[in-house]
Amino acid sequence: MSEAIIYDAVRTPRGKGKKSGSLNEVPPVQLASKVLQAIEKRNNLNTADIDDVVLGCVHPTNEQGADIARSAVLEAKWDQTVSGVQVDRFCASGLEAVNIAAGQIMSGQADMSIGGGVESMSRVPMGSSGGAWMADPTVAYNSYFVPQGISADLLATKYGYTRTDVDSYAVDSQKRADNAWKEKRFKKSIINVEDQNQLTILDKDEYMRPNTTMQSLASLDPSFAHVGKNHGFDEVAILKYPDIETIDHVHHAGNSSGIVDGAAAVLIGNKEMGNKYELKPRAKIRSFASIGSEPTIMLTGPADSAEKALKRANMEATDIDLFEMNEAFAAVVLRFMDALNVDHSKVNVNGGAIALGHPLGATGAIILGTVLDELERRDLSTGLITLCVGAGMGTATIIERI
Amino acid sequence: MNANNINIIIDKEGICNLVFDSKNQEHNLFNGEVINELSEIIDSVINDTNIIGFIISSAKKSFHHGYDLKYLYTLNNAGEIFDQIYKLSKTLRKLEISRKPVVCAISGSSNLGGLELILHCHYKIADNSNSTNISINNVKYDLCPNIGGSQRLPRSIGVSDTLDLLLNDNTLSTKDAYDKKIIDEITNKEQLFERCKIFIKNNKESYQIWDKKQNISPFEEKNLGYFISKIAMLHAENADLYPSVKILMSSIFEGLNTDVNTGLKIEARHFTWLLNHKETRSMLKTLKFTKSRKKVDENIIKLCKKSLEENYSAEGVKLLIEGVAAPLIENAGKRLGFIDSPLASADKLELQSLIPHLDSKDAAVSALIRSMQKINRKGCSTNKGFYDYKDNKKLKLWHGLKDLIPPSNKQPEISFVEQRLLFSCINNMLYNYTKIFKNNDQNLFDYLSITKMSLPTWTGGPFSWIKNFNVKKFNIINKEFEKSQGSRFIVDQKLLDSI
Repeated sequence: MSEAIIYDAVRTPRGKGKKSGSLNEVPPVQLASKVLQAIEKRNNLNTADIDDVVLGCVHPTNEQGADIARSAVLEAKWDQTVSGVQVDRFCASGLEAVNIAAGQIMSGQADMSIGGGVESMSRVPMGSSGGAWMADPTVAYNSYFVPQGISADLLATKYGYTRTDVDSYAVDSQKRADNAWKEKRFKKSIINVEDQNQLTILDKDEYMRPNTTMQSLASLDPSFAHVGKNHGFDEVAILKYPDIETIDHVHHAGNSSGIVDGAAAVLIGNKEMGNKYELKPRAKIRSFASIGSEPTIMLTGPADSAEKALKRANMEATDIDLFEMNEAFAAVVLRFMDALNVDHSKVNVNGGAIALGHPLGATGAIILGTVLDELERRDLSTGLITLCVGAGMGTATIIERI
Repeated sequence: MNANNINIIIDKEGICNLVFDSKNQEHNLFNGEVINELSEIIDSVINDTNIIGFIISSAKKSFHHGYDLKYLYTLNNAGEIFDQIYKLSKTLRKLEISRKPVVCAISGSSNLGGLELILHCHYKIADNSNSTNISINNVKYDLCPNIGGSQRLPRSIGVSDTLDLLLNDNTLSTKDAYDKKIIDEITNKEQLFERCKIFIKNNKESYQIWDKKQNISPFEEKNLGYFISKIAMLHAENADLYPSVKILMSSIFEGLNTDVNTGLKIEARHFTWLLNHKETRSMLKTLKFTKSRKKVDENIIKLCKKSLEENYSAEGVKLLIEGVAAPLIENAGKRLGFIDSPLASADKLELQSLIPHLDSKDAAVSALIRSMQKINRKGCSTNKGFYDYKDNKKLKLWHGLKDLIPPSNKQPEISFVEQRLLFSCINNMLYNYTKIFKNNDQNLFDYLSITKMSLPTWTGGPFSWIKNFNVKKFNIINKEFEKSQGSRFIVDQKLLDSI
């Protein structure tokens, strides 16, 4: 089996995912093609040597539809022989794309591939692609569908995370992200998004609120109390979890992941390709795993997928130097740390999606780059990347520096 | 043609009046014979070039009352049911797509099935008499649409109005039906047929809106959000107890993603499943076929109701004493379809009222009730009981309850708690049947138990429920309960043998 070696990782800054966000003017296909072009340029690649571009995208409809990966390849003016495929594993799509690309290399069916992702949440809003899971009565009934925010509040209720717990986690995330930017820790991976005249559109994550305090968060109303109480979702969740009397709605805009636009790409290849281009092998993919879990609480998958990936790599949680985990909701991270008995000092040391935002299809690839940069900065070895996934799944990847 | 149930009158202008007149029936009903007849008639008139249009009318005082439930119950396997349901749908569809105008002359009452017949027509005229109306039972306690109603209603009045109409009890006057755009014109009785003829003469060709264009999709922005939250609200309201509701939603959703022809097939499949659903079948049997509504003393009914409610609440408190967590007990009651959860019901009844339901084995229960009473937690009257209340509004479970009765570390499955509650209630009903009701009519008792004594409707009553559950299994589980719980799980063997 070949080793899947990570040679490079780039990402765009994350723009606020609304009309007033800086990246709202940039079509998602352009965001995706820009990260591909950056990979090409930084590594002096002849793109004909790239076998496949795998991109995560959660709402592959309208301008993100019709296999945006192939359109991005063409738009990046890469060799026409490079194929493109769009994948959707909800929030873990970007990491799944990396895992698929790694799998191509490991199995010897590709020499060099891209795993990445893109989502313009300001241009193709959440929910745009519909779905049987929530709208088909048979499926929604049988799976006890509730929106993810209700699941997050259910998780907090079941495991006893209070509003104070989740809010203080959020304050930490903001502080860490602010510190990371001040110390230029994202510099290695981030590319400017420029227009056709090479004028800069965005060069910094613009969602952050570094001045966030417990007091400022306390003023925010829970985001899912209304929909939970008035649209039946709390009761549906309790039908599935009858040990719970009422759901404690603790999540709000300030302790949940931000809605943003962004794209990322990771260059993965075998040893020979690295030698051909004299690329520095940065890390190898030790293992990866996706799992299914109970879909109503939905967000417990990170621990299960991490354990599965650890087992495949013949490792323990204590063998991991840094964890990078999508902060979909604060309670998801708190639960993950409790389940694996991991200290907060090892998790999301540069903040996470609560401060920086979560461009659905891209996040997995973004945070893989983030943890790799940080492992190098601290001269540590192993990192575990994981995300919770809609409909009760989880995806995890373990990398090890070479 | 030898037609026994439908008269065909073709006038000299070429207008064909199909007059429903079910033999030996009070109302016009669909059954196998009528459907065969209708099918033959439609095949014979549909291509008759002398005919310029159709009127659908009734020779009875009422207009049409859809399927004959008794007939449907004679159909015993899925294939037979599906064939029959789909045959009627396809037969009436022929008329609808014949291009010739089809008008109905509505006079007298209709139910949901009658409405479904009406919806086939290109133009619907009703008379303005008081006896002309459309009454619809909440689909929750009835059968779903099965003559295309789940396809035509949402396509003509929208998804949300359709569900409002079908998921409540509704009696629509002619004016209501007009306002809801279900019928097109109101006229007086004398002019009813004349108005129908005028429409036919003025319209050489007629189409339904859904045959011109697909005018509605569940994934349209306004429908998508509605579907997502409506599913959850209905699921929350009905737990998993009333499948008709889910079937209705599924027929609409799946049908609206395709054309009417396919939608009718989808509806027929869902309906077939529902008619074969054991619990629904027996619930309807209890609700619809209990003819012998002998006069029963209201006091007897009240006594049985009170006894059931007290027993249900007392069983909840007993579970609590055994260490079952209060939310689990409360949620079990809700999942069984009781209006109130056991401990909330205890508060409503007042804690004191549970005492008669306790025996010497329940010293811990009476001790709990006494200690709660001592701190003035007597139930709703004191605004404090198992729950806290404010302005008569139930808040959360009393936080001190956990300290008074600590829940065990190991909690049972919810299904166990549900079974304990339900068995206890069914046993209580059987006891009351013998001791209070004393009227040797199990069907009547079943009927009264779900309509007046607050036993959840889906059960179809204690006797129906036991029959469905299996008498032998019921006995075995009761014997198990009896070992730990004592005499309230002992059932009169003679009575069980008579089920």
